[in-house]
Amino acid sequence: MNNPTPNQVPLLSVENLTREFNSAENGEPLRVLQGLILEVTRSESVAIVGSSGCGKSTLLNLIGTLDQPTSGTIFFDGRDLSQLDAEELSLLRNCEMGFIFQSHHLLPQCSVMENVLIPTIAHRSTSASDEERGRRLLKRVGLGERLSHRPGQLSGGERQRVAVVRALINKPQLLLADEPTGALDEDTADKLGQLLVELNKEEKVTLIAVTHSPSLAERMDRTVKLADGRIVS
Amino acid sequence: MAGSFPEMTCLRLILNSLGHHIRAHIGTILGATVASAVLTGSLVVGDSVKKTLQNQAHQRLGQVQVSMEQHDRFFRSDLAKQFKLGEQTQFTSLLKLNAAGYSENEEGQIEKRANNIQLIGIEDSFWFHAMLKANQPPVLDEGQALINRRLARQLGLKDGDEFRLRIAKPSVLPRDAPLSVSEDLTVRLRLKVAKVTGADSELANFSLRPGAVPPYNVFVPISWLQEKAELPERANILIGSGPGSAEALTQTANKQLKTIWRLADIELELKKNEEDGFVDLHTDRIFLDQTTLASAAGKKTALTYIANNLRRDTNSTPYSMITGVSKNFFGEQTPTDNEILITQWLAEDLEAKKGDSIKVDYYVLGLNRQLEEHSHTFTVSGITPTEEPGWRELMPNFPGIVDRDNLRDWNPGIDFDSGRVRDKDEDFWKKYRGTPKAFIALETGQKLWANRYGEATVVRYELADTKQTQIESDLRNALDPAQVGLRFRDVRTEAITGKAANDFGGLFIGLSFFLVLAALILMGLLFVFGIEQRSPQIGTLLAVGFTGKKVRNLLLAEGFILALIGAGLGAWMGLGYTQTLVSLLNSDWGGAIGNGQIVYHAEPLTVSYGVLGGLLVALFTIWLTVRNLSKASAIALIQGQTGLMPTDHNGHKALITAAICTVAAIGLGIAMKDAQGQMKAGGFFGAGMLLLVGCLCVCYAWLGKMAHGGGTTFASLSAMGWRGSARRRSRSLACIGLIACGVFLLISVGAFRLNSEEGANERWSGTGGFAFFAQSDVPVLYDLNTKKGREEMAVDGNKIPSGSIVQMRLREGEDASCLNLNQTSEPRLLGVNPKQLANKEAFSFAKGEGWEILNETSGETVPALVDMNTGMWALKKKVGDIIEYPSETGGTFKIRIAGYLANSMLQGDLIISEEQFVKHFPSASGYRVFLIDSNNLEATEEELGRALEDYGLELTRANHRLEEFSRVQNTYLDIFQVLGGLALLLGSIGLGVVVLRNVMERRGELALLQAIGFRKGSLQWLVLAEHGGLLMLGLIGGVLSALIAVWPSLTAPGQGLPVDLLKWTVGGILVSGLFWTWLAAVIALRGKLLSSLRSE
Repeated sequence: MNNPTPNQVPLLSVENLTREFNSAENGEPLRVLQGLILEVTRSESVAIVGSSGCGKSTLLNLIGTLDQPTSGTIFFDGRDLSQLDAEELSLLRNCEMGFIFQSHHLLPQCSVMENVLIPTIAHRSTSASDEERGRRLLKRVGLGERLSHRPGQLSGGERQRVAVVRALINKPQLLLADEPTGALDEDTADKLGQLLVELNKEEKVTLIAVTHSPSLAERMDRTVKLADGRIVS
Repeated sequence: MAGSFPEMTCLRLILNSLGHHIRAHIGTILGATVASAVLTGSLVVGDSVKKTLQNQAHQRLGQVQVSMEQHDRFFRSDLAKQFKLGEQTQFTSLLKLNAAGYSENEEGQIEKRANNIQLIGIEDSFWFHAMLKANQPPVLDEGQALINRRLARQLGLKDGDEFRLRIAKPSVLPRDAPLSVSEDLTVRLRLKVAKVTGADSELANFSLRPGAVPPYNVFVPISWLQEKAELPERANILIGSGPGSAEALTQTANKQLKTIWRLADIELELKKNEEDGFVDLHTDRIFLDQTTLASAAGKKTALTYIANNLRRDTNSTPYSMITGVSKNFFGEQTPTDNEILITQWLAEDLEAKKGDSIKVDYYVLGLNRQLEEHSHTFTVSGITPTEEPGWRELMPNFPGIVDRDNLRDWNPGIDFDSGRVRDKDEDFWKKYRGTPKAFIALETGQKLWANRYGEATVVRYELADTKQTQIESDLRNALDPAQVGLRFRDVRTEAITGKAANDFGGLFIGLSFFLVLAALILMGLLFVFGIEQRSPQIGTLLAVGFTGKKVRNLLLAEGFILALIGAGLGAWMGLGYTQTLVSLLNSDWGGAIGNGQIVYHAEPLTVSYGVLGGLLVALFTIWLTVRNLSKASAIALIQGQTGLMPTDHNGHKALITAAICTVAAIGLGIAMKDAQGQMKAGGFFGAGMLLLVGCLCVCYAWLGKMAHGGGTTFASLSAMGWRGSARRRSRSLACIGLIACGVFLLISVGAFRLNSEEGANERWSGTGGFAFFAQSDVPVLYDLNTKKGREEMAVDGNKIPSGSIVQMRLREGEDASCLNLNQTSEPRLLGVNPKQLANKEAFSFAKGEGWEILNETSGETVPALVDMNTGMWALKKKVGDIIEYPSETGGTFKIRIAGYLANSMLQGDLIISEEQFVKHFPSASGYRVFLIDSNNLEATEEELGRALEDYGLELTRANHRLEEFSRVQNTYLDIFQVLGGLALLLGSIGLGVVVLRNVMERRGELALLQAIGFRKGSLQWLVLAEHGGLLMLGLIGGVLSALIAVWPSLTAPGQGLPVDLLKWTVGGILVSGLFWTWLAAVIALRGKLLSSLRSE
C-alpha cells in the first residue's frame, strides 16, 4: 500500500465522536452527539446543516478544541487532539485554525486593523508581514479604506468581514464558521457566503461552516446533515 | 507599510482596553483609592505618633544624652565638675526629690493641689542642656522657683505667685533600716514663682522617664535645696551632653567615671585616727554591704548594735553598745560562738565574772517597722578594761544618738524609755560615749543583727600597714561604682527614635480593616462586573488561540494600572484621612491615647508604603476575581456566561451546618452563663458568631429552595422578586453576608466594651473589690492595719478598720499602662504581701493561678504578676517570659512573668512579692501604694486625706481609675464602630452596584414583563422587593447574632440594650441600602425598556 500524498490524507478525521452533557432534569446525561464519524480533506468546504439542537455547533466546538468529547477521537493533520495539552491546543487554534462566530465579537476598543492582528500577538509579536497580509485581506474583502475605523463605525456585514479576516490572519489550515451569516440580512449574508467560499479557494483553507442558510450550503463542496447527534446524509 | 500603524502589542491592547472601558473602570479606581487612602492614612497615624513621641523626647531631654540616676542613694554634686571630656561636653548634677504642692487663697486656705511633683535642684550648667541656650531663664534667688506650665495650670500660678511644697525628707540611712528615725519625714517649703517656663527650649518638661503627660516640674537652686533637705553637697542625678553620639558619650563617661569617682560617691568614708594609728571605713548608711566587705576581706571588721538590756540575774544595764568583732580584733581573746567579752564597767554593773551568763535583749525591725524584741544568752569569756584606744569609734553615727549630749535625750528609732536610764548610765555616756560595753564574735553578731542593708558597721585598717591614700586606692580598685548604680545610661538614642508602645499604623489598619475590606469588595465587584460585560470578547481571545493564562495576565495588567492610579490617588487622600484621625484623636477620641495630644506628620517613605500596600491589596483583589479565568470555557464566555462566579449547589449541607452552629451557640451560651468579665464576653461573642454562620447557612439553603421554585407559585409581585433574588445565589448571599457581618461586628464589638461599674465591689472585678487606689509621695513606714501603725500615723481605727488596707512598696519606673504611648522597658515595680491579696481573693487572673504564685521563686528568678494589657501590649511579654530589671546594686535581676491579671486597675505596674522587693531594693523604704476597702467612701477619703496629708497621699476611687484605663479600649471600640459604619455605607453602595448589575443583566426579561402589561413602577417595586429582601435578611441575621454576642453587656448592672447604637446602625444601613437599591433600580430601568426586548 502506497503512502498517501498530503492532499489524500484527510485534514480532519472524526471517529466515533460522542458528547454528553449533564442534565439537571432527571440525572440522565443528555447525548448531543452519538458515535459521529466524519472526514474532511484539505481545501474542502463542508456545510453542516440540521435542525436546532441537533449538535451542529457542538461538533464545531469539538473540532475547534473549544470543547472536549465524552468519547471518540479527533485527528487534525494526523494528530490526535486528545493528546495535546491546553498550551498546545491554544497554539493549534491560534496557528492552524480560524474561527468565525455568528456574532463578530470584535474588540470595540481596537481598530479594524488591530482586531485583525490580535491573533498574531497570542504567542508571538506582530511582524511586518502580518500587517501586510492583514492589509491585503482587508482590501480583498472590501475594507481597504476602513483600517483605522472602530467596529462601532462599521455595518454588521463589514464587522463580520473583519472577523473573517481575523480568522485568516495566521494562515490557518482550517476555518470554522458557526452560522457566520446568522445575524445578517439576506443580501449581506449572501455576499459573505460568497466571500467565504472564494477565500476557501484563494487561501486554500479548509472550510467547515455550520449554517441554516441553504444558499451558503449550496456553495460548499459538500453538505453534511445532522439529526439526533448523527450524520444522516 | 509597518509605519502606517502603531505596532500591535499586548501593551497596546491593554491601553486600548483601558481607554475604551474607562467609565466602567472608574468604580474600580475609586475602590482602590479608598483602600489605599485608608491604608496610607492609617500608616501615617503611626508617623504622627512617632513624631509626637520624638517631640516629647526633645522637650523632656533637651540636649541630654546620658544620665546617671540614683534612686535612694546620693553622690557628691561635685562629681559632675570632674568630668573632662572636652569643652563641648557638659555634665551637671541635679538633686531631684518628690514633692506634693498646693496653692493657697487669700485666706491662707489650700486652694489647689498637685502630687507627684519633681522638685529639681539645678546648677546654672543645667541650661547648657536646653535646646536653645539663648532663651535662658532668669537666675534664681533662694526661695524662688521656675515651674512648668502644666504645674502652673494645675495650681493656678503665675509669675510672682507664692506656693507651698512638701517634700519627703531624704535620708542617707534608709528609713526601714534598724535604728533609723521615723520622725521629721517631710519638709515644708514656701516658694515664689520666678517664671512659668513654657518654651520647649527651657527644659520645662525635663524628665528622664517617658510618660503619658509631662511631669509637674519645679526648678530651684541646688544649693538651696541641699540645705533644706539636709543633704549638703549631695545629688542623685547626673546628666551629660556633648557633640557626639549618646552611645559614644555613655561609653566614654562610664570609662572616665571609673577614674574619678571617690568613696564618698558610694556613701563610704575613711576616717583617720592618727593618734591611735588606724583608719576606719564606714558609711552614713550605718551598715556596710557585702560588696564593700568583700573588698576589705581580712581586715578588722566590727558590727555594733544597741542592746536594750544586758542582764545577769536581776541586774540590768540599759541601752548599751555591743560589738561583734572579727577574730583579728583581740587575737586569742576574741570571743567565739556564744562567748561575750565584757568591759570592767559592765562587769561591775552586773556583778558578773568569767563564766557567768549574760542575756542580751535587742530589737529587730520587721518589714514595716514592726519592732520585735529578741534575746540571746552569752557566757562571759573574759573582762577587758572599760575603754581601749579606738573603741569609742566603733559606734556608727546612729541618727538620734550620735549627736546627743545626754543618754536620756536619745531618739534612736526604736522604743526608748528614758526612765530606765540611770545616772551612772548618763555618766558612762558622757565619759565614754558610744564605747561598747561588750564584745561578741562577729559571726554571732551577724546572725543576730545583719539585715538587708549590711553585715558590719566598720572596717578598720592599721595605719602601720599602709597609708590612707593607698587604702582608698585599693578600695576603689576593688569596688565597681556600677555595683551601686553609679553608671551612665544612654537616655537619648531610644527616646528620639519615637518608638511607641504599639504600632499605631498597624493598629489603625486593624481598626480600619472593615473599611478596607468593604472598599476592596466593592472594587472587586465593580471590576468583575466590568470583566463579565466583556466575557464574549474574552471568549473570542481564547478561541483565537490566547491561553487562559495570557488572557488572565492581560486583565491583571489592566487591573494593575487601575490599581496604581487608585493607589496614587489614595495616598493623596490618605493624608487627609490621617489629618481627620489626628484631629479626632486630639478631641473626641482622646481617650485612646490617654488624652495626650499628637501632631500630624507624614514621612514620604510611609506614604510610599501606603501606595505599595494599596496597590498590592487592590491587585490581589483583582487577581481573586480573574484567577479562575484560565479555566473558563471559551464557549460559555462567547455565549455571555461569565464563568467567574462559582456555581450553586443545593442546601442540605448548609442546613446541617446551620443546625450544628445553632446547637454549638446554645451550648457555648449555657457554658458561659456563669463566667465573668472578658471570658463571658468572649464566650458570648463566639456564640453570636456561630449563630451568624448558622443564619447565613439558612439563607443559602433558602435561596437554593427559591431557585428551584420554592414549592409555590407567584402570589404577588414581591414573591416574584424574592424568587428573582435566588437566581444568583452566591451574589445574593454575598450581599446578605456583607451586611450581616458588618452589622454583627459593629454591634457585637460592644461586648468588649469595658464597664468599670460592672461588679465594681466584687473581688473578681478589675477593682479587686477595693474602694480606693492611693499613692503617696512620702513612704508610709508603718502597717496601717495594726494598732501601732494607726497610732503612729494618727489614723482613726474606727474609720479605717484593721485589714482594710493592702500596702505595697513602690520602685519608681516608667508608666507601662495603656495611657502611655511610649515603649517602656523598665516599668514601675510594686512589692506586695501576696497573702493579703490571696486572702481577699482580689482580682481575676487571665493567666496564672493566684497571688501565691509570687512566692514561687525559682533560683534567682523572681515571679511577677502583671495586668494582661500591660504584659501583652506595653511590655510585649508572655507568661513565662523573663525581664531583666535593674536592681539597686547596679546589676540586674530576672523577673519572670508568672501570670496575667485580667483587666485590672493595677495596669502599668509589675507586681512582685514584698520579700523579693526588699531583697533587691533594700533602700526603698516604706509603702507608697495602697489598695483600700471602704464601706463609707466619703469618711475614708476624709480620714486618710487628713491623716496622710503630709505624705502627699492621692486617693483615687478604684472604679474611676479602672474607668480611665477602660476608656482606652472603649475609645478604640468607638473608632472601630465609626470606621465600620463607613464600611457599611460602602457595603450598601455595593448592594446598589449588585442591584444595578442584576437588573442590567435582566433588562430583556423586565422588558418582557412591561410588554405583557406591567407598569414601570411595578417593575421598580419588583427590583426593590428582591434586593430589599436581601438587605432585610442581612440586617435581621446580623442583629440577632449580635444581640446574643452582647448579651452579657445587656444583663450587666448599669447596662441595657444599646438602643442608640442599634437605632443608628440598623436605621443607617436600611436607609442607605434602600436608597442605593432604589437608585440602581431607577437607573437600570430608565429609558425605553422595550428596545431591550427588540434587541433580544
